[in-house]
Amino acid sequence: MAGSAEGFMEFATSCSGRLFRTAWLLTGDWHLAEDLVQETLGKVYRAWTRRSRPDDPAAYARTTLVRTFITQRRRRGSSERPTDSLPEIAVPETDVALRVTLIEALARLDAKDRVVLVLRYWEDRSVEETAAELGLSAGAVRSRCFRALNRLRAVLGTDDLTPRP
Amino acid sequence: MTIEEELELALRAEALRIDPPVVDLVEGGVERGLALQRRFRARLAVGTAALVLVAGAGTVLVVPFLDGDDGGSGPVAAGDDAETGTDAAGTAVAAPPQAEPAGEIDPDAVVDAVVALLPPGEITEADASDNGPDSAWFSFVWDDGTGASWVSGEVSMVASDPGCPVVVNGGSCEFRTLDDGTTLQLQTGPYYPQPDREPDRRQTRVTAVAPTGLSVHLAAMNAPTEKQSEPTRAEPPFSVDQLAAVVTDGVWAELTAGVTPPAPESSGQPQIPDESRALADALGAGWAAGPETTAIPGPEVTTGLPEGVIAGAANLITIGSELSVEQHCIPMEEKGRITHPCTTTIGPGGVTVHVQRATTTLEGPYAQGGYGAELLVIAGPEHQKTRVAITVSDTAEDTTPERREAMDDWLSAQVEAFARAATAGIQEAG
Repeated sequence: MAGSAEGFMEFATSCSGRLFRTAWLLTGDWHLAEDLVQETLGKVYRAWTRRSRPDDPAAYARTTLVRTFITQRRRRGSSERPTDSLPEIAVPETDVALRVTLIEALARLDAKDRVVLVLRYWEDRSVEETAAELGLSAGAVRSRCFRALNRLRAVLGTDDLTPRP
Repeated sequence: MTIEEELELALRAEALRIDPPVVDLVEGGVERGLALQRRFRARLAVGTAALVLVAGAGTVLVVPFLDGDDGGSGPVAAGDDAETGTDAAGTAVAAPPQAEPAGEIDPDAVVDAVVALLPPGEITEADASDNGPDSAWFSFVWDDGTGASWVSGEVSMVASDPGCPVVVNGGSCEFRTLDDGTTLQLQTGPYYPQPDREPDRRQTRVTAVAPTGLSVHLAAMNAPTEKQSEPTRAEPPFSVDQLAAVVTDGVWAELTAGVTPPAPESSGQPQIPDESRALADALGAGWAAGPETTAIPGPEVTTGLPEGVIAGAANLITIGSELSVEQHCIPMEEKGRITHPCTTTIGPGGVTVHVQRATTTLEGPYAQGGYGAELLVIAGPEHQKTRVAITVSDTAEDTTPERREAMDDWLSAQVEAFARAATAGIQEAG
């Protein structure tokens, strides 16, 4: 049985802030993040009213968002390309500046690598959960995560930030 | 600290630095969801049939219908279309629309009418459906050989607000009332309302609202799709006057004859949560609890504001440790909003309170939206801060240095109450 539009509104109001923050981390652009979340909510709305309220609507919406993001990036084709070698940047002296540098470096990663890091370190998803959301194997997620973190470390030009065991 | 921990902190700080535009997101999401539904319904209704339209110049056009988000089958060849007919001269013509039950707007007839009223051009990518019996939307690509244009519109018995919005993107909006009482809203300029977003993507759009409630909207862009395409021409192919001639044509009254406007929906009372009551109580006399942890200032509170200045609702949010006070208080300017550094003071019970002000820019396109000033008061420990904020706004036409000073004075007078509310908010949250 289809879910109610009222129920969807309540859900969308409660989750859109979180979705927008995730979209912001993925796109780094206010308008693109807005587009991405609205596209996502539109797809969730359609599923919700055509079929039924998803069992875990927040997870459903998050999965829709990251997959939509990857699809959009793929469609953008050659307009944006991640660089193989990110420029080395002097390690900033303050925590705030260091974080800004990390966010900038994140934005230059391949879209899928970026999604992996955002899911793992902002959404607190496990490797297995991340793999399920992206339709990848757990090994592929580990490998992407390892590679992406190494690239971030290279950007910072330091070995001090050692990975967790 | 490991890079993972550092990244985790960076992501949290970055994410919580921003205030998501929740209302816009939800409204936009529902709009897109409804559009997806309409496309789905239309696909079901039309199946694989294609409608052949004849443009004014007699060009035979095959319209591939309803290429949805889940992948359409692409253009349909004329020879494949069993519903295609020919006129006396052997030219393919549109298959006559199916007879519709009386009292409904026929989306196919709407597309036929629009195409017939526009100058000659090739029509492709046509899509149309109803939003219910009293409304139909459509879109297609029109191309006269000098640049494809995305054309879209809606015919509805649900009259929309015909007033002009505040335009800050360099475009224009004009509002006219015709002799028969029909109102016209004529807009042209950049498609997106924000001045810094794809200023070369331009659209001309006109909406006519008749005294009967019949609303006809028509828009044309200088690009073949709404998004993710390059402009094909400097300006949209039709002027506002050309579009006005289409939307005020007598055909719309004929196509909507017998269609009944919907009964107005009854408006329910918004839910007032207990947190809002606590916020209003903490702010003091004259404040009333509003929806979603807000409090509305009454006339007793807004005394002192210049006439015409609007005070918004005070709202309370809780911020976790991910966004430090230091980060919150960083001065910056973004999209016409200037955030000033915080000042620190001691609030009720010896609690440290951070007071921040933000104002809108007085120059440039964003200033056309009027002047706004905000007060943001933050209290509580780093791991669980409470922020209470309010905005007062004035129109671009009315704002003067004196009025702005009075607004700022009024906000300054609220600091004590807001510090009290923010401090009370910590106790509530705790």
